[in-house]
Amino acid sequence: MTALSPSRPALSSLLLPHPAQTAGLDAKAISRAKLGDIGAFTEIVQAYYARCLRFARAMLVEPDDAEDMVQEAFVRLYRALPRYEERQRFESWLFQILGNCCRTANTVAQRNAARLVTDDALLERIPAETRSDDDALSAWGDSVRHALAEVPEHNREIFLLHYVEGFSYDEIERMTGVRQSALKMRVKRASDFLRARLSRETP
Amino acid sequence: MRLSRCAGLIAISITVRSVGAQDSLRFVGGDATTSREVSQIIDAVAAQGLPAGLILSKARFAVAVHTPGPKIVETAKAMAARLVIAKRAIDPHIRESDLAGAEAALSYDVPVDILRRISSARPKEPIAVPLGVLTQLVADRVPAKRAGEIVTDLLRRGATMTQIADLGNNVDADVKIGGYRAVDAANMRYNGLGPHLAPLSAAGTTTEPGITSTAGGPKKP
Amino acid sequence: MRSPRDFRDGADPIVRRAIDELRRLPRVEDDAVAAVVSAAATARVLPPADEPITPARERGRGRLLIGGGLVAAAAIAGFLIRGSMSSPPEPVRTAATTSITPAALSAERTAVPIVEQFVFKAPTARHVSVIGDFNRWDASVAPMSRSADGELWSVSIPIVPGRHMYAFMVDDSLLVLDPRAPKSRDPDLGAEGSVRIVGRP
Repeated sequence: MTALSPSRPALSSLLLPHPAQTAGLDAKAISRAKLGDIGAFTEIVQAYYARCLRFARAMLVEPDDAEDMVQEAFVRLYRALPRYEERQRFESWLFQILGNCCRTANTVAQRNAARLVTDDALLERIPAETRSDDDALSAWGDSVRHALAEVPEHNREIFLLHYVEGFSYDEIERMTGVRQSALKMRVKRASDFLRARLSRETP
Repeated sequence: MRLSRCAGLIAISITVRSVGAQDSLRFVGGDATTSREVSQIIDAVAAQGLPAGLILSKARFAVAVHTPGPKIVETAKAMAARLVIAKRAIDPHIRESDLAGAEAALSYDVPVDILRRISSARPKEPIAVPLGVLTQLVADRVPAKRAGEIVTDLLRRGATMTQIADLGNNVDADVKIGGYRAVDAANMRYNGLGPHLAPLSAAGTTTEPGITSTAGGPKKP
Repeated sequence: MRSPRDFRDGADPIVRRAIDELRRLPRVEDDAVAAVVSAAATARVLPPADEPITPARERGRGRLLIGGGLVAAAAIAGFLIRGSMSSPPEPVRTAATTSITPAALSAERTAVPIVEQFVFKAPTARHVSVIGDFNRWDASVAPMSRSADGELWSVSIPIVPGRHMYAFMVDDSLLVLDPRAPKSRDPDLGAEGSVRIVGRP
C-alpha cells in the first residue's frame, strides 16, 4: 500500500517553481549580458541557478561540489557569451556547459576515490533540503536520490535532461551529439532501473 | 591620394554642442584656437555616432610630442574623415576597438577593400587584432596587398586571435633583432603557421582581381 | 521564462513519482548568485582568448574559481559589481599594480581586455607613467611602481585587443619610447611611438 499518490496536494505544492523562476527572464537580458552588462547577467544567474543546482546535485558523484560546479559553468558561459549566437536555445547551451563540467568532475572524482556504494555513505550526501517535516516524504526522496545515484552516469544525465529539465530528444541530440535512438535507450535503462529499485520501496 | 587630403571633400557638419555630456571628451591643448577647433571636430564626430575619443586620444598624443597647433587640427580632420570611411568599410562591426583598428589601417593608406575582406572573413567577431597586425605589417613596409593577403588568409583558415597577434609580434621581433625585411619575415611566419591551420579550401581561395601570390609568396596548401 | 516542458506522461507511474521528487528545486543560498556573478566578472578580465563555445566532451579542464582568490582578483580588476556585493578594496600597491579607468572600460563594453604588463628601466626617475591610446595619453591614469631594487618600473593594465601605441612619461616631462618594443611613425604627426599588439592573454 503506497503512502503517496500522484495527486497528493502537499506533493504538488512542492512542485511550485522557485519564485525567481517565474519572474520571466527578460529575453533582452541575454542580449544585454552579451554586451557585458553585469546586471543582466545577474538576472540570468538568478533565473537559472536553482535548476542548475538541482541538476548538478543529481549528476555529481560528489553532490557537495554542486555549488562549485554551477559556478564554474556560469563563469564559462559568461566568458563565451560574446560569441553566443542564439543558434541554440539559451537553456540548452547552459546545460550543455554544466553537463560537461559535471562529467569532468565525476571523472576526476572516480579516478581519485573508490566509489562508495554503501547505503550509509550515500544517505550522508543527500542534501538537507530533501529532509522535510513529512517523514514519509523524505524517506521517499532519499530512496529516489539513492537509486538515481546508482544509475550509470551516461544514462542518468539523459534521464535528468529529458524528464527533469524538460529538454526534447531533438535538443538533447544537438547538445550531446548522441543519436536520438541511443538517447531513448539510455532514458529507458535509467527508468527501468529506477522502477525496479523503487518498486521495492512501495509494496 | 592620401586620405588626409580628402578631409576637405567630406562634409562634416560642425555643430557646437553643449559642454555637459562631452566633458569627458574635452580637449585642451596647444593654443586656444587649436583647442576650440579640435573640440568642435570631436563634437561633430561624436554627433555622428562615431568614437570621438579616438580623436581626443590622437590630439593628446600630438600635444605630448609637441606638434604645432594647425597640424593637430589637420590631423583631427583627417581622422574624422577616416572614421567615416572605416565605419562603412568594416560594417557591421561597430566596436570602438574595431573602428580604431580600421582607422589606423586607413592612416597607413591600406586600401578599403582589404578592410572589407577582413571584416567579412569574421563578420561577428572582434577584428581589432587582425586589423592591428595588418597595420603593423604595413607600417613595417610590407606591401599592403601582401599584408592584406596574409591576414585574410589567416582568418579564412581559422587562425585564432592569439595566433594572429603572435605573428604580428614575431614579425616585429624578427625585423628588430634579426635584421630581416618585414615582408620576408611575414612570409616566413605565415608559412610557419601553415601546418597548424586549415588549408585554404577551393571556396576560400580568393578569385578576386588583383590578388595574386607575389613572386616570393608562399604556395597555398 | 516558461516552465519546463513535461515529458512525464509516457513514463511508468513509479518513475513519474520519482521524477516529481527530482524536480523539486533546492533552496538557494542568499549569496550564491552574487558569488557566481563576482567570479564570472573577475574571470572576464583574464579570459583565454579562444576558448571554444561548446567545450568538447573529452576536455578535462575542471578548473574552479572558488574561495579567497576572488576578492583579491576583484581588487586587481578594479571592478565595481552592482547588487549585493560591496565594492572591492583599493588595490594594494606592489611591484605590479593595476589601474583602470571605468570610463575607458565602459566605452569598450564588447571587447574583453587582456592584462598587459609594461616594464621600463629608469633607475634615476622620480615618477614614470605609461601613456598610450588605451588611456588617451593621460599620464595620471597609469603610474608605474618601482621595483624593490629601484631599477625597474612596472604596471599591469587591462587593454582591449588590437594594435596600440604608447610611450613612457618620465618625471612628467620626458616622453621615452620602450626600448624593448617595436616602434612606428604616426603617419599624420610624423612622431614615433612604441607599438604593442595585444592579443595573447
